[in-house]
Amino acid sequence: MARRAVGVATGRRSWLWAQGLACGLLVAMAPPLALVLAVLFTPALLAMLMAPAGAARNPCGLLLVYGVAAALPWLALLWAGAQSWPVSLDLLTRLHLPGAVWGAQAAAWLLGELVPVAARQVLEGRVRARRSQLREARSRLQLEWGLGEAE
Amino acid sequence: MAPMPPAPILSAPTLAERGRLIAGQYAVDLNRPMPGWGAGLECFVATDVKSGRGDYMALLVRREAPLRTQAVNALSAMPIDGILTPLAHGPAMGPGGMPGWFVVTQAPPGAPLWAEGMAAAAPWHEQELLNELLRPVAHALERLQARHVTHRGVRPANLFRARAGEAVTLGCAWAAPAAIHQPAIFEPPYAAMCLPGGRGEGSISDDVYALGVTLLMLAIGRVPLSGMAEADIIRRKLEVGSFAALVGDERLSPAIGDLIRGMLAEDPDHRPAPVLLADPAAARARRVAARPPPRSQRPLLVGALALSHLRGVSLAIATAPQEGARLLRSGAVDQWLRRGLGDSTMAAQLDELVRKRAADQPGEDATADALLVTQAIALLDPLAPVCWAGMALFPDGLGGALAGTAGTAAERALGEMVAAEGVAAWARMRPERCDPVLLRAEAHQQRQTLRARGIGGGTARLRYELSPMLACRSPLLGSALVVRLGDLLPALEDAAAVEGVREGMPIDVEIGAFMAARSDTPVAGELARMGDAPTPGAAALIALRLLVWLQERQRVPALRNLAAWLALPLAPLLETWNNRPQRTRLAEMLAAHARAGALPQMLDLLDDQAARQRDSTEAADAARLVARIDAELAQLAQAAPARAAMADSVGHELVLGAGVTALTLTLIATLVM
Repeated sequence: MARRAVGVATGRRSWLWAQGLACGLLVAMAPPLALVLAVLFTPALLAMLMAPAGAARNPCGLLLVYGVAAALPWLALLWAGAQSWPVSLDLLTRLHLPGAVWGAQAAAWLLGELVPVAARQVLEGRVRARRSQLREARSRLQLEWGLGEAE
Repeated sequence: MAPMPPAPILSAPTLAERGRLIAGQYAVDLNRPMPGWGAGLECFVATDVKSGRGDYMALLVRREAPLRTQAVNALSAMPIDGILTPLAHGPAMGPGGMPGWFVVTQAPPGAPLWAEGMAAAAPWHEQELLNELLRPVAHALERLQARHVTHRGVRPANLFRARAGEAVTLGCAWAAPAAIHQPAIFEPPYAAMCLPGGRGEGSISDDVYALGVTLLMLAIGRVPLSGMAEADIIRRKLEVGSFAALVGDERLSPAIGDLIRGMLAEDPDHRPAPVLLADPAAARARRVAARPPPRSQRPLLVGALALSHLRGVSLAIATAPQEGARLLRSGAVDQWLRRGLGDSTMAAQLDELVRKRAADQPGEDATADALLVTQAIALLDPLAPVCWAGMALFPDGLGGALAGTAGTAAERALGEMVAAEGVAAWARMRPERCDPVLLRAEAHQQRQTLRARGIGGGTARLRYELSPMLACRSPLLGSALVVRLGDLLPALEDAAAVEGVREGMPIDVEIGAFMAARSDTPVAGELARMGDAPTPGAAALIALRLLVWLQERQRVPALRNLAAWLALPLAPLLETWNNRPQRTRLAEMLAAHARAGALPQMLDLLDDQAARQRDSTEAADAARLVARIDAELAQLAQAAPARAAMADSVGHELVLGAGVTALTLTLIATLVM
C-alpha cells in the first residue's frame, strides 16, 4: 500500500513535470499561440486550480472540450496566419472570440452541474413510483390476509 | 274391583291420527285408565282402530325401567294361550301430555285375583287351586320355557280370570325389567336381595317359586309375612328356609303343602319343572330332600348381628361390605368356619382368597376389598348373586340395575364393579352354577365399553347398550321421549326451540353415549374427539358432523333450530381462515344456511379441506410476496447513495459526450472549410 501510494505520487509528479515541459516548449516555440491559448482557456485553467483535492470529477476536462470546440475555427485562422503576433493580438482584441470561448466553457460548467442533477431527479422519480407501487400492493395484501404492518 | 269399561267403536284413523297410534294400529284412551291391572304399571284401555275392537290394554313403560326387549321379540310373533303376550309396542301420548312408550296386550278376561293392598280374601279350595291356577299357569310357563323366556311377574295381582270356575290368565310382565315389581315374598331370597332392576331374566324355576307363593297365598287367603319389611323377609327366608318362613304355622292340605314345599326350595335345581307341575301328583312324587343349612354353635358377629348360619353371614357381609372385608381379612370368618361349622375345606379356600388379596394389593384398597367380598360371598353361598358395595344383582340384570340407578352414586359403584370385572370374579367361584367363560368374556367386553374414551363411553354407554329400549335421559331433551336413534333429531330440534337450552353443545354425555350405543356405525371415535377438542368451535364441528350423519341416515328435513344452535359456537371457526374477504363471505353463507336449517351445507362449508388448504397456500404465498416487497423497499432505501453517484456519472458522461460531439462537428466543419 505504501509502495502504491509512493508510485501514485511519483506518477503525479512525472505528469506535472511533463505538463510543465509541454507548456515551456509551447511558449518557447509558438508564443503567439501560447498567448491565445492561455487567454482563451483561462476558465479551464482556473477550474483545474480551484478544484478541491480528492473531488470525484474535475470540471477542467469538460471546460477544455467545450472551449476547444468553440475556439477551433479561430485557432484555424491563427494557424493559417502562421501564428504571428499580429494575428494572435487581432484575435484577442475581438471580444466575441474570447467571449464565445469563455461562454462555451461556462456553458460546459453549467451543464456539468445541471445535467447530473436532472439525471438524479429522473432516477429518483422512477424509484418513487416503484416505491409507491410496492407500498400499495403491500397494503392490499395486508388488508386481504391480515399480515403485519410494514416496518 | 270395578269391571273394565266397555270399549267405544272408533272410525278408521286419518293419516295424522295414525302417527299417534301405537304401531299404526292401537289407540290409547287416556280417559279410561285401568288402575291396579298393570301389575305395578299404569295401564289404559286401548282400541284396535282397524277392527274397532276395544278389548286391549296398553301398559305405560317407565322411562327408567325399559321393557324386556328379548321377551317382547320372542312373544310378539306367536302369542301363548293363558298369558297376556305383547301384541305391539311403541310411542304415544301419555298422561299429563308427556310422551310415553306403551306395550299393548289383549285385555285381561277379568279383574286381578288379588287387588293391590288387599289384606285377605276367601281361601281357594284344593281343586280350585290345582285346576284353575296350578295347571293353566304351569302350562303357560312350560310354553314360555320352550321359547327361552321367563315371566318373572307371577303373583295374584298379575293373574286374572273372568269368573270363578275358569282358568286364570297370566298377566303382562314385559313392560319393565324382569321381576322389578315383584314384592320380596314372591321372589327367592337371592333375587329379592338384588336391586329391583338387577334381578335379571332368571330362570323358569324362579317363576315356579313365585307360583308356589301364589298358591300358598290363595290357599291361606292372606299375604304371608304381612307387615314385615322386605329386608326382614329376606333374612327370615335365608335363616329358616322359604317354606318355613312363609308357611309358618299355617295348616295346608298335604297335596298343596308338598307341592309348595318343592316349589319353594332354595336351590332352583330342586324345584319342579313346569311340565311336572301340570301333573301335580307327579310333582309331589318328585320331592328332593334338601339338606338343611349347617348352623354353628358359636355365632359370628357381623356388625350388630350375631349369625349362626352361612346364608345369614353371607347376607350380612353383602349388606355391610366394609365390615365384612374387615372380618375376612382379619381371619374371623376363617376361624368361624373351622371352629363353628367344622368346614376346613371352605375355610382353606377362603384363606386362599384373603392371601391373594394381601399379595395383589398390600395395604388399603377399596376395590380389592370389594372383590374379596364378592368372591367370599360366592364361596360361602354359591346361590348368592353378585354382591358389590352393598348392592346385589345377577349378571343379566346389570342393564336394568344401571337403568334404575342412572346418575346416582350406585351407578358409579356399579361402574367400579364393571371396571374390576367383578362378575367374572364371582363366576370363577361358582363354575358349577354358571358359564364362567361366557361371563368372563362379557365382563371383559363391558369393561372395554366402560373404558371407551370421551363422551361415547363410561357407564352411560354401558347402560344404553345393555338396555336397547332405554330412553335417553339427557336434560337437553326435556320431556321428549327418545328411545330409538331416529327419535333423537326431532327431539333435539324441538328442544332447541326452547329458551335457555342452547348453551354448550347439542350432544352431551347422555346423548353421546346414546348415539354410540344405538348406532351400528362406530361413532365412539368421533365422540371421543369431540370431548378432546381444543376449542368449542372444534367440538361444535364434530357435533355438526355427527348430526349430519344422523340426518342423512334418517332423511330428516331442515333443522332450523339445531342449525341456529350450532351456528353460534361454529362462528369462531371462520376466524381460522386467513383471507378476510373469504371469511366475510363464508360468514354470510353460514348464516344463510343456518336460517334455512341446512346442516349438510353448513358442514360442507366449514369442513372443506381443499378450500382450507388453498387458503393456507395462498396465505403463505401472500406472506412471501410481502417479504419480497419489504426486501425491495429496503433495497431501494439502501441504494440511494449509489443511485446519486450513478446519476452524477451519467450526467457527466452525457455532458462530456455532447461536448465531444460538438468538438468533432466543429473540427469537421473547420477542415472542410
